[in-house]
Amino acid sequence: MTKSLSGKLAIVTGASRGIGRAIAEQLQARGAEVIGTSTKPGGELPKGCRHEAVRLDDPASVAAFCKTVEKLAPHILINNAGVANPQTFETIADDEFRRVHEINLVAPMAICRAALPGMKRHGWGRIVNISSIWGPLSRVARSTYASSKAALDGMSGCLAAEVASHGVLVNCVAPGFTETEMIKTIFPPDKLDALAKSVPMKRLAQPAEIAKAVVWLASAENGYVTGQNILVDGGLSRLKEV
Amino acid sequence: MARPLAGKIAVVTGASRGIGRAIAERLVADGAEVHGTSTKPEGALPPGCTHHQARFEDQASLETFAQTVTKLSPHILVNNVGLTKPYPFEEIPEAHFREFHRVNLLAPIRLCKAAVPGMKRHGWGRIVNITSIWGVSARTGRAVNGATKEGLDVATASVACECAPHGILANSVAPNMTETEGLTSVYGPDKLDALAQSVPMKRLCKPEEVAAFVAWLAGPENTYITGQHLMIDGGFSRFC
Repeated sequence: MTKSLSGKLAIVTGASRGIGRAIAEQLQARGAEVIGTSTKPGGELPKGCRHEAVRLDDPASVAAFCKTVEKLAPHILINNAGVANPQTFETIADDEFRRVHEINLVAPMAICRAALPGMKRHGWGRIVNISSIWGPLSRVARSTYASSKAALDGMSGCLAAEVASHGVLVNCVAPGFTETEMIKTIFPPDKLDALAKSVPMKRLAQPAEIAKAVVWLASAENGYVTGQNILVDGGLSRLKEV
Repeated sequence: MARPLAGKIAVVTGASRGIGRAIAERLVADGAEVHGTSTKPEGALPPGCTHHQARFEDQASLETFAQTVTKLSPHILVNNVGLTKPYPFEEIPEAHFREFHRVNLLAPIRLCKAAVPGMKRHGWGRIVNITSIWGVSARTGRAVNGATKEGLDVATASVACECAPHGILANSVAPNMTETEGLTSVYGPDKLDALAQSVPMKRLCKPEEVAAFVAWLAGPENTYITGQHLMIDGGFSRFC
């Protein structure tokens, strides 16, 4: 594998498992120095990653982490950490709506802002925010999650326009159904099988497949893709069988 | 340099210049056996490409090349050829309307149809159809161009849905205004500069940037992006 990211410093939030872990592993394999976050102190990150503990639902913890980000001045920032808590619209507690938005939207915004001065100094930066198919698409009980992820895309599109002339490219990657611990907490195994069959590719994505798209967008190979929300969904978003 | 496409056969239409030439060069560099088309005789393609002469506005020429594609059984098909000529809506000549549909929409669909059986046999295929930001955004004078490009994207998505279980991924890539001979022959330096300033990145797209994106989508690294219309536009489509 070519070490195309050697000399680059990358920050990945939520790097202890699932998609974030796969992203951290692939960035490292391409030669980047990777700092990963998890909520646990000394959390279990891929070998070779430096660890930072941060709780994205805690504004004080986010503020402390942002100071670290500003000092580190990463070339690459992947806002991957997020939470989903499917509830039908009328049962959503206001506090839970705020908590999910705090983690999925407010914290990534603050972390982007902390990373930008360094990227501008480098004259080069890549931000990839992990959004979701639940934004462009909808489904019952997704209003909290979908609104936070759609807002993350809206923010990223605007940020892309603001910083493009500094050599900073900003995109979202929207994973489809991906075989992670998170999805297994939401769906029982027989339901997961039905979900897989509903995708044109007839299978769920593996975290590594999402990570490959993220890593390409975060690399120097990407010179002109910015402001996009790229769906990595096996074709799900374009299929409407009746 | 890594050669991720070693052992793969690729077909690129319109490979003699501009974006298509850059794609063909990149696929050759990545190790693919590349077959390119141009309307010109032998010698017009980048080194290492096999040349096929084809005129897609001509039904017989298209049909001949479609049969060649079926025989070649490519793993990768890049439908890059496209016409672009703005006309005020009420002045669009009927002949122009038909020619654009033949070249921008019917030819790529016919070539996909020619390539899919071989891709199914391989259990692996990548189709990338080059559309345009004018298939997503609108601008005066782009009615026919935009309609054919949007049509191509919808056809691509349908192919993606049908062929996904066979390991075939199909996507559309929509470049913004790109520094090609085509563009620089139409606009003077002042207008080109104004176009560049209208993009958040404050510059036009480079053909090799489109080629890098297409090569990635057409390569083994992409295993789950399909049916998408992907903009490579320096942020242009999101900005107004």
